[in-house]
Amino acid sequence: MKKGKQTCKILKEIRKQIAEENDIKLVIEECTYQGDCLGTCPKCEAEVRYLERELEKRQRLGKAAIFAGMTIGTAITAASCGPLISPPNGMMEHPRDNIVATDTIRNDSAEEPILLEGEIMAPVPDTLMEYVFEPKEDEDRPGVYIVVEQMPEFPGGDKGFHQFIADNVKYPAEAKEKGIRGIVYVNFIVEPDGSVSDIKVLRGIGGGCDEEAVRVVESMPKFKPGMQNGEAVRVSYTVPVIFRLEDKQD
Amino acid sequence: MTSAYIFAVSRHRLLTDGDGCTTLVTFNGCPLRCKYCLNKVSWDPLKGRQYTPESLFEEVKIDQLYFLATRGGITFGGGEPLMQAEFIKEFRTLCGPQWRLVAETSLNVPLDNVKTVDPVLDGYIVDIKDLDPAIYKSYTGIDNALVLSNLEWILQYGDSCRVTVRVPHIPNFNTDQDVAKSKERLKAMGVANIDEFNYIIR
Repeated sequence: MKKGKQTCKILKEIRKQIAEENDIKLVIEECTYQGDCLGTCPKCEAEVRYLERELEKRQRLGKAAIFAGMTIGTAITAASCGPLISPPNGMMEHPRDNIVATDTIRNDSAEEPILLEGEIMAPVPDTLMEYVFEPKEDEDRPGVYIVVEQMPEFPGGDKGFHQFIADNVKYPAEAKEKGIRGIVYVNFIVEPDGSVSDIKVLRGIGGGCDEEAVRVVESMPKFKPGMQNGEAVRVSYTVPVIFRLEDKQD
Repeated sequence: MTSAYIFAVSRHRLLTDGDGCTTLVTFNGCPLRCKYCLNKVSWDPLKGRQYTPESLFEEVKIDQLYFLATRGGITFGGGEPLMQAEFIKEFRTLCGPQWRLVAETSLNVPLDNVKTVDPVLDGYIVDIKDLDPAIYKSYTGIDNALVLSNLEWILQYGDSCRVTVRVPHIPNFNTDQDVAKSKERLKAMGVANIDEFNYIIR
């Protein structure tokens, strides 16, 4: 676990700096453990507790704890208005190709379920009730939801949807001629039987692409319908239909 | 008693989601249904482990020394942390003013939640998705009107340096031109820190 070893090394450096700044004697032994490392271990934790006790002793004698100048590696800057997410390798620009990124901040331990199946869940206090999932209804269309417990799903999921679009979209001649490319966003209702209705273009790009996107959506196979409280319900759904014009045209 | 469900507490994050050494606390419950969401476990508001602000503080204070030494603290994520505004506000009274508290948020919550949590936060990392309403809706399932009005409120009433807005290239949902438009609009709104990046579909 390389990442763990790296974390351990940085944390050790921080402890060393705290000790030096505050005149605390701290003997750090080289870690010889070869197995998986989580970045910390009982020995590391014991050093932290030791530092805390020593700092408390100093505070009782009227000495303030000193944390000035403490940095991790080289990337933290003293800038008063910098991005909260530090770029890798100390770069201040964000060339997108170099950023390993994910949707939402990834929780590294998310794969490990905290609540095991069959475990008894604690009773829900009153203050939590307001956060219990509530479906959102479309204000303009009574009886049509925009978010439900289980959203509608195209056969084969998102991958299946994009494949269907790629297989079925015919590039309109006018768009091809004018070099029009982009994404048409089409909204529709997924009915309880999985069929689609009330198809409309939310944002089009012209050149015949909008009509073509509607045609392809009309021809889609049935969705797995959206479910709320175990019942299939009407759900508003929006999809992107991509028109990608290859650079080299015949 | 305020409490919330939290699906993970991840310690010793170094320069990943805020300055210094941070602990990521991820709440359950989210108003969005993003197509490439990595933490889908958060969609269920009642999964995970139940915490009060006190029990969370007891668990995370083990790293107080690292927080103070590196200007780090807690990054609240999720799920949508601003759905738990009261929880975060109470947590601040326990941890004191020195820990950096940052929320990684979509801002797609009622303005009252933002007003509750704003005085106790040191920073926001806003995952804006795309500013175009159609793109936003197709990717998240819902409207982005609240996102924009909340962002305007934060910029108007707080220090814009506290806000980092992440603008993703979302495969199959937006184009480079869309991202450029979002960035232009954000700059015009007064956002100083913009983090442009690619979503990587796993």
